Amino acid sequence: MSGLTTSCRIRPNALGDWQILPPAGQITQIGDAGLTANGLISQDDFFVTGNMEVRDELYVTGVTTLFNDLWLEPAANLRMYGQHNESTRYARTSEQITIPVGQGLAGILSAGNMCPNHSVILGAVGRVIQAPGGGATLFDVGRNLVGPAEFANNVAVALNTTFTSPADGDGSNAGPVHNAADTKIKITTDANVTGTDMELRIAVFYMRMYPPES
Amino acid sequence: MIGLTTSHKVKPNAAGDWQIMPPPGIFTQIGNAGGPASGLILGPDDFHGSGKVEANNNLCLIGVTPTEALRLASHLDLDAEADMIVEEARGGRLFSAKITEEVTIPIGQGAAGVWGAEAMNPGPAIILSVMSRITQAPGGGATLLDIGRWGPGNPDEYLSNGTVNLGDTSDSATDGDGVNAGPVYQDIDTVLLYTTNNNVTISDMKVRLTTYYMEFFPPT
Repeated sequence: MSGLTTSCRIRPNALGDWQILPPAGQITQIGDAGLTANGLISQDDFFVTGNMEVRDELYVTGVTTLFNDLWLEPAANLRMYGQHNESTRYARTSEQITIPVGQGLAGILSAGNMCPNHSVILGAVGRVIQAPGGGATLFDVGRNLVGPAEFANNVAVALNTTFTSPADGDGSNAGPVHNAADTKIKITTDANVTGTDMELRIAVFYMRMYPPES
Repeated sequence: MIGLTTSHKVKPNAAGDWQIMPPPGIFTQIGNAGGPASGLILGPDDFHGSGKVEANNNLCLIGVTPTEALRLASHLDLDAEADMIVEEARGGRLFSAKITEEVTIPIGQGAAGVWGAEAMNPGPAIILSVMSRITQAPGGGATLLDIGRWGPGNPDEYLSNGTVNLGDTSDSATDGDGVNAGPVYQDIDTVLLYTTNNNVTISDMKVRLTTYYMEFFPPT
């Protein structure tokens, strides 16, 4: 036990939990990667020189400062609350949509309402993950009954062709757009698909708003 | 100190801080909830909390990989006092935030409009959405409510002819007069105007309103 002194204790606290108690003025550190703490100054502080993983919830009552990106995996959304539970949520919907042989010219709808109500649609993106065997050469994407080509206008159907709505839409939406009601996405091709099915993966990024609950 | 061995040290380091030093290849773990660590956790400098972790002061994360400082597999909730700030190297900021106020429309007023107290549309900003809830219905008189901006907007751009029953809510995307098909730029701080179709009678009416917005600050 070299290095331990009686002034550094690991012991049960008043709550019965194990607690590390460094002496006054010193911080607790895990690892020895040679880095210095960034503004941590007291024995209540905790410094990890490597990666840190939390399998359950992380609560921070001070300011969280990030020096690199905040990465939200597919299951994670970002939600900002107010004092009366009003909130806004940054989120996305994603679907893989098949345009079967013999269809496309009259349009194919997404299975779900990819554009939720009470939202601001920030943008839509897509990728051709299976080109049609024949027939269709171009496709449009937009909200059903709103704008048939607002997100993608005359985009090629070749495998791995991508679109982003600010660049590839028909220009009817010059910026983010309000979406009032739950709405499906519609894909329309310039001719029906022949030979083999065509498949697209489409994602819609949006902010949904919730009014005060009291 | 049962369980500690000489290869697992807790000691003051060169900086004078107390330091936990597991042997090479072993990371430090708190808890035993059974969940295996992800691929990020590999070495003795790493820390794995299998339960909850709480910081009662600031949390500072300095990532070393190109794209990940904080990677979340579940939701990030920002409570009422928390906003999100994206900062550029010279102090310019994008501020994603919300502001809420409760406005009282007193007896004998409303038809000529009542101004809110706060700049509920801050500037320069992009107004994403304006939402409201009737937190106290009027005793009588007024039956419909309009909400809009003073100056650059119009009196019902955010709510047009909304009903005033207790708990009624509105969303500018669906309940405005249709002038704004999407978020709108706001150049200066602006208060909102609350207008009823008749003056309120018998008892006051109250409206709680929230604006979601993104505000921009130039480099310092």
